[in-house]
Amino acid sequence: MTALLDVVNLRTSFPTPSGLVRAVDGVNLKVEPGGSVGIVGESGSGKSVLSLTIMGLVACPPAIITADKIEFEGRDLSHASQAQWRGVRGNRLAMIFQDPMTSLNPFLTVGDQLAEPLIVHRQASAADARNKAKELLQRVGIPAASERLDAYPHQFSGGMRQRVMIAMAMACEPALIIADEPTTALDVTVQAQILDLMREIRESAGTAFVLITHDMGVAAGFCDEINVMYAGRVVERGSTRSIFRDPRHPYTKALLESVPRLDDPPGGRFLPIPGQPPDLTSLPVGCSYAPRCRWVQPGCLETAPTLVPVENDPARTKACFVDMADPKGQV
Amino acid sequence: MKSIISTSAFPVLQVDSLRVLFDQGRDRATGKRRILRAVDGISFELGKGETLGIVGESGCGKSTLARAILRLVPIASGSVTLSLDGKSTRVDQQEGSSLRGIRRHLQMVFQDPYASLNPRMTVGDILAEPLIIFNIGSRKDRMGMVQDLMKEVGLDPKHVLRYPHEFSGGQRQRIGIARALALNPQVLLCDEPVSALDVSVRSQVLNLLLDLQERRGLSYLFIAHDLAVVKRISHRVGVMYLGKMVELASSDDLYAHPQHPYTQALLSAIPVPDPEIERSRERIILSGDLPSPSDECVGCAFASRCRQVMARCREVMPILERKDADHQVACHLYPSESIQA
Repeated sequence: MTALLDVVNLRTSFPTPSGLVRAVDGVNLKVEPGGSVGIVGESGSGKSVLSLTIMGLVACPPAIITADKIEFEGRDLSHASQAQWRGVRGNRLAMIFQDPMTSLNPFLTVGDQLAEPLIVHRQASAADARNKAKELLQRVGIPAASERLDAYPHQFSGGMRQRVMIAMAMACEPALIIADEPTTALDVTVQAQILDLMREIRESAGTAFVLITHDMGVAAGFCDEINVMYAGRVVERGSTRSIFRDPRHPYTKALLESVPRLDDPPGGRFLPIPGQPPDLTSLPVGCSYAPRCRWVQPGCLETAPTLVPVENDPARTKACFVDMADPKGQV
Repeated sequence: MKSIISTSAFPVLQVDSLRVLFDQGRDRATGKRRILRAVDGISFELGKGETLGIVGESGCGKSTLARAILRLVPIASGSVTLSLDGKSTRVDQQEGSSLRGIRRHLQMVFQDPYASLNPRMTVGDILAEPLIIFNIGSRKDRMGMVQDLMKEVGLDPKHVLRYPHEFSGGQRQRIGIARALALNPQVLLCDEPVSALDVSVRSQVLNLLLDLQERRGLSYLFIAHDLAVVKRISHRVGVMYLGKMVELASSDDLYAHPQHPYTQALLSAIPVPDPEIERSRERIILSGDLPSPSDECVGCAFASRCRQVMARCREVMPILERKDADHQVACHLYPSESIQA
């Protein structure tokens, strides 16, 4: 089976007065049809820039984008023109943004916004598009869909707005939806509703998802594969089960330990990661995580590790020189 | 292990039937006044050295509760009593300079460390300001106090002349905590103190709060929507829904045996970072959204979304009653007779 999305060695950097910010620094990403890939990391790790680059939404210039390959459904998009991008975006490749408050147009009714991709990509008539828009609203669980078509975004609650965003993304039956922190702005009970809806869409329509999140719990429940990003690079990749059961990169391990869990016993200290996330304009020469790493070795400060398969688990890759089980010279 | 502090022995802060109402003007259709009941009859006690966590979804009134205790929003009715060294003061009855005097003992840590620090003041000025207002020490003494404060919260005193933008989010929240501590208060009202921080940094700030509590015997009202954090840090936890406290219990008890259907749903909605647990456990998905707190509501506020709703719930508002020594719940599923049993 050929991959739905195949990204090889993607780099996105932004020139700034204080130096070049390497927001995405050599990332490979593969998504199979119907798959669900999670990208987790803290703010500033490059996960949102990665998703925007894949959607062709990073303005270039000023950004500098290079990639050996950005292939989606067999078409290479790494040199696509804006017109070519417009044919893909919102059609076979769609996106759900983080903030449902600001990503809908406040001047257009929800019905008009839902109809737009159908009119642009499917050359639907206004009446057909409106009918389809109504079906879409029903599909994502908005009651009284035919009346709600003429409502404006401000008349919807946050959770309902995110449902509208999902309906818009689904309008042209995309093969892949990139969801960038789709539930971060929502309350937990509404988050559970939205994740349920996304799960249901994945099962019934076979849509593949790339889910970008900083919430390890959300990723654990939704994704089959997890990519952990740190300072613009993927530092560990593997099946969700293996990443959570047996993290092999020190950052993944520390990140999982630092998240308080509901099934922890109450009381006791939190386990922080010392130090600060790195400054992307002046990354250290070696591994970017080395200054915060418990298992740091002299070699880590000299060369940056690349993503290599973990021994006796070919599906796992990690970018780390140290074997945490046998960390020579652990402090 | 922490012990449950008997709160009735040394309550530092007592809040009784606190109500905060916001007038939203007349409804255009009916001409009736619309009153938003942001905090609707909340009562609790906060013991010395205790952390009381307040959880709830956005719009449940948890931030307004903290602001009302500090009198940053007007109180409609009810009382707030601060007890220090055997002397009780009604915070709700103070005005002007005596109110300002009370705020010395009752300080707030705000959510957003980017917006709550004046960008034109240096850290030194920010931390000295409360001392100047209360006329504490000479200029030179204050310099020393500011440096001590910075050390206490884990900031380098050499950075005293830096501006907030020169610090990271976690460090800025440390500045916010140091400012709250400057006057040596007894109670800190922490309104989502770590929500704006990254997970790896969040734990550093939470540990700082735990250290400070140990060292200074502080009492915290810890408001957050992250239930996992609240569970770790709190001795007792209160769950708010539409301006009301629906359940109040010791942290262990609330998470192990949630009684109120809303608490049960809230807990089941939190994702656990473990794929096996996350995929196998039973989830209670609430339908619909939070109703508007300005709508008139006769019975239980949660009745519209509750899966165990009964006829009585739509008619009579349940009150917060004691189920056992340290578990209170406001729900008709637990009638008073069984509560006393």
